[in-house]
Amino acid sequence: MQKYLNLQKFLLENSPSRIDLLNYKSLSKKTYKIYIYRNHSFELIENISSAYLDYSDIKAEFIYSDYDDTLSFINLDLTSDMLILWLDLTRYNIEKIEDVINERLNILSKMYTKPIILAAFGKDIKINNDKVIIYNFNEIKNELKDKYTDIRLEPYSGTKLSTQALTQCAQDILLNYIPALLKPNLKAIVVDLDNTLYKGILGEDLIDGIELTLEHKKLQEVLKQKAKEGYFLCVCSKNEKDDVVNMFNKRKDFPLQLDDFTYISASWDSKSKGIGEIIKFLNIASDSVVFIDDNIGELAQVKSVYPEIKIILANNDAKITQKILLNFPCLKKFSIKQEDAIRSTDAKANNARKQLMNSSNFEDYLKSLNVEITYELNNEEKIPRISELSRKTNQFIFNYKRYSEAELEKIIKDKDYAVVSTVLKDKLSDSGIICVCTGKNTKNGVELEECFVSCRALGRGLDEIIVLGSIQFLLNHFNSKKLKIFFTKGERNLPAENFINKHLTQNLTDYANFKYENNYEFIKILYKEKV
Amino acid sequence: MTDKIIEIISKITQISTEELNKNKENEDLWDSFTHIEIIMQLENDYNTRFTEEEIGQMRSINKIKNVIESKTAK
Repeated sequence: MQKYLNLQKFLLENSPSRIDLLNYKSLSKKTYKIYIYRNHSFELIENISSAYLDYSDIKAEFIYSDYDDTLSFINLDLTSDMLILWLDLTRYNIEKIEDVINERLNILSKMYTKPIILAAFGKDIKINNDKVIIYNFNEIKNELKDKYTDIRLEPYSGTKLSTQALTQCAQDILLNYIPALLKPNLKAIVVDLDNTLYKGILGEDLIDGIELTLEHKKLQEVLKQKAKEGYFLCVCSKNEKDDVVNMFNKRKDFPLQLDDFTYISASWDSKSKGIGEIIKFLNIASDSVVFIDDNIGELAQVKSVYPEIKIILANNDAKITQKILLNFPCLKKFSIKQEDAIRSTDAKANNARKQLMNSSNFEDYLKSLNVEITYELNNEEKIPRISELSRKTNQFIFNYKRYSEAELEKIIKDKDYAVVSTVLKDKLSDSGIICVCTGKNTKNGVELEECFVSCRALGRGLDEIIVLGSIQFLLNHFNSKKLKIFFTKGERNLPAENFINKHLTQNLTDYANFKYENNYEFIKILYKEKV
Repeated sequence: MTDKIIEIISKITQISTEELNKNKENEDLWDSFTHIEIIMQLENDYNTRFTEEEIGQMRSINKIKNVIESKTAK
């Protein structure tokens, strides 16, 4: 725990000097290869990268292309984990540079299927390629004004960017961009209340006595925005639950209102118990949660029970807490998908489903939900969501194959491959895509390359119809009766393993007959082959 | 002054101060990116700004010292 608190302080509370950053020794073990394709130098960012990346347990090996203005993309390292296209556009004198870059990017994104960041300095251009993440220098440029570039140093530094600009850019790219593309995104933000969301103690200062400082107000606005982006926002506080509810009902000056929270845990039990309730309710693992508290003892207590949970020590000065939150690794969304907007409603609806399940027998419960399942074949429009789900699913996943958008595009176009995405809807919510199966047709039958199910869909008694129904649809598409599956055991995919043991043992690593018939007549099934 | 310069360079290059003291004329102790790190730190610590030409000259410890001396003398 100390490592993360030290790094929080070093990187985001103090302003680290380049010397301190240069001399930082990474404690992370896992190394990722980052390929820098460039026409100006990136080394002054690499020099100070280790501490920033260590904050998200990443150690990087940077590999460089030659200085290539032509963007030939020869000798690309395809084994690298991501590529940064680091371009100085002022080096080009041609009029239609935008067209040229777009054309070269289209070629690059076909050859290279891992994440790509384009950081183009010098000119604003419009990129029409949704597989490329754009890094924009404008914020740094506006802030630094005439200190943004340093032409005097260019003969030695190999770039027009000033060291100040490079230092700021390093913080942004290394905390916000690289971790979010290399690692699964976080799913939930859990906040303490007293002296974290506002100044004061609810139990002592009472509802009207606690103070919403300007900076706490801004912090709440940041959290509200994160909730809108699809992160579950929850409270874990040592307070009376009624007091907490009353506080949000009365304090209309708070940007955060009860509706913004997916779950509120308020009691006098230990915080780890509260966190336990929250992760059970959300059906997520503790490593996809960040817990924010102003009390280091509470952080330590939670960390002792959930060693993988991420932590932020809230500062008395809420401005600092905002800065940490806005730069916290794996809390950046590059595009907001429909599924992100509906996530919180869906989790709340899950609770309503549980109550229905308890109050009636299972079949009546399912009937009462008006479940509708749609199996879609090769739905290109949903590639971003499918890729996202493949990268963040850890529990119900057969082989941990993390698909990039480019990889999915490639296999969808391949007639020997098929991607089935399954959409679930009931009267309580529209969950969007919750299951994906990918398979390859061979002369012996269908090989199931991957299968993963969102944790939001599990535990509704629908696992069989979702997974086996998707597989059956895949087999029907290839007009095949034989199926072979693979399984890679990981740290947390026991739910997938149990499912395979129950339904698919004979298909494991060998072709065997497969047939699934849906017995739930009351579930509405739709098939979409051409979308 | 030389001691302070050597201390700064030692922090950046991780070369010991003893070793640097023995190599004050050596112009190949660091690469061009380290050169930038050293220049930026010296500008910061001596509250000055070097010209492109001076930056080109400052390849050894003694040459750095000469440039800084000539600037502070002005």
